[in-house]
Amino acid sequence: MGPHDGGGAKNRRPCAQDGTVHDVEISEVVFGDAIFGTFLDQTERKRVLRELEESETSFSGLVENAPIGIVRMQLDSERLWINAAFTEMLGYTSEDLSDFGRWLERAYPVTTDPERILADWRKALHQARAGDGRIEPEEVRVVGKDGQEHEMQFSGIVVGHELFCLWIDLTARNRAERLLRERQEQLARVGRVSTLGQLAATLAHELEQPLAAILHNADTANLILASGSPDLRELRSIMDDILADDRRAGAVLDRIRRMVQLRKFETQAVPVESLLREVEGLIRPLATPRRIAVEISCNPGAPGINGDPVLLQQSLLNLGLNAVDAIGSRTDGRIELRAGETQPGLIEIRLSDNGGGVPEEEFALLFEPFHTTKRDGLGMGLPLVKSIVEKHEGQLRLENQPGHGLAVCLLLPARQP
Amino acid sequence: MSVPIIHVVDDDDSFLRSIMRLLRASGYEVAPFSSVQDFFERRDPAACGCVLTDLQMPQRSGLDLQEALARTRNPLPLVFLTAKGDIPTTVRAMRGGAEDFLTKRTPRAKLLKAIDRAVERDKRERLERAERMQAQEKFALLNERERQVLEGVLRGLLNKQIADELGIAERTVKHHRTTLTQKLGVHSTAELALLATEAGISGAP
Repeated sequence: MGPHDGGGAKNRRPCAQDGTVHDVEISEVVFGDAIFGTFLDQTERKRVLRELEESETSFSGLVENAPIGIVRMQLDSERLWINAAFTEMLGYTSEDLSDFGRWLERAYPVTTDPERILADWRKALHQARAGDGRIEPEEVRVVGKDGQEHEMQFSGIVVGHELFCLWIDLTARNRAERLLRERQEQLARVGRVSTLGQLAATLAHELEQPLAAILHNADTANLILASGSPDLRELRSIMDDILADDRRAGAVLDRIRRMVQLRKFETQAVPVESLLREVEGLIRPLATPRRIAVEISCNPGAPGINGDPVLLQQSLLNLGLNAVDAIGSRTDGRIELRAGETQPGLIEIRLSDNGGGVPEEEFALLFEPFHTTKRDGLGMGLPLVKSIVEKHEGQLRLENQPGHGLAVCLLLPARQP
Repeated sequence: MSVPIIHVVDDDDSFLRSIMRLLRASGYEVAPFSSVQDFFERRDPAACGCVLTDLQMPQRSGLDLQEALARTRNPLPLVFLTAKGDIPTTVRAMRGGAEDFLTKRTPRAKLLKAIDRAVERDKRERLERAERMQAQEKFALLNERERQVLEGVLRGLLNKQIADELGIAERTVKHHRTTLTQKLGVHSTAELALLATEAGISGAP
């Protein structure tokens, strides 16, 4: 240790009398000819620092190796540090995303408004710092390094001067859920179609015989009448057969009507909004491929209905399929499903489309069984819906939309609280 | 030739009656049957005409009838009637030689046209069958050696070649040719070939 011009500090580790080694900070001050030395025992402070360092190392190790994506951000410098799981999910490394500005640039789809993201972000952070430091989980779509969009769950927590952003990739989970939902919807659709298909096949076959017999009998009667001396006895037996075959065809129709109505009617409380959501879920997979938008809205707090949820769902699905057919190949197709308590004690569920609509003078015809405007339709849809609504002591009303398209309104008594 | 009979097979009593009336009023001879079994039990096996049959019947279907009828010595052309034929069934029926495939509510004109076509076809096939029978009967008169010589002739071989193949003299071949043309009543090799075709005999071994 040589003489110094000014003050300085040196750390030395001299032994104490008891043999323990101490970290001592020695400062020297030259004062005239004299050197004053101050001795500060630093042992305790060094230990705490070392422990802190060790704890930071193990904490960093934990963060680095955590199985969920973590991004640490220094709040003042907005510098980012990214863990391995995050890199694995989205591809970005700490080098790619050196600070928050780079993240904003790269991670959001071009369609989103950067100003809004930034504003939302600032607001969430501000609230977190003012509150308990947490940013509540929310689902966001971000773009990975490879340009693919990911559906992610984001949550955050502020610790000291750092924000820890926690990221979970929901893409696979959401895709699996979507797939499952689509499968269920397809199944529901197939079930409906095959039941109707079977019904149609039975109907066709059973009606074909009496109708064919009526045709040939009537044709023969004409031939006999055109001959010189018609055989009246033969004509009478032809007429008898025609009448019998007509009764037979009528019996087939009655049987089918009974078959359709056979299902047991089971009432329970049906929340209107969940009913609408279920129906939306069934219609959407049919509407989306045809670029038809499906919108639902429900007055919050509207009372439920007392009814059979399956029958109500089938009714609305039927109307929805009609709407899809009515829209056809229009490119701006839209189906709206609205519900609310329009009058006290009366729930109105209204399904409207912007398809071709129906002339009002034909409204009554629509409720006739077997009246159909579709090539392979059965003409059973609206009559069925009507009978279901009437079972619920409700009413079915048709309205043409002001622009174009048809609205079908189900007026159902609200459930008494 | 006897009068063609329209055999109608249908399990639906009322429909069967209506179609019988229609055909009778249109001048046809008809025979009603209520099932495939009824048809095979009661029909006149020698009758000509055609069969008008329902495709779907409770026990044996129209396709069963088609198959069983094809194995008899006196098959009749079929016209199928159906509520609504699916494509595989239609294809199968047409492959089996069905004359037509109609719905039960086919208008009279179309129905009668199909029946007339089937009856015409029966007449034609009957004639062909008779010719084949006659021809086959003639060929049955030939002995073993004559049949061997005939085969060579049909294959277009010269007498010399036939003689070499059979290991006999050319003169003997000539002799067999003379007797076999006499037995068959033909006057030229061309006529011989025609008769062989009628009888369903080909030159190939």
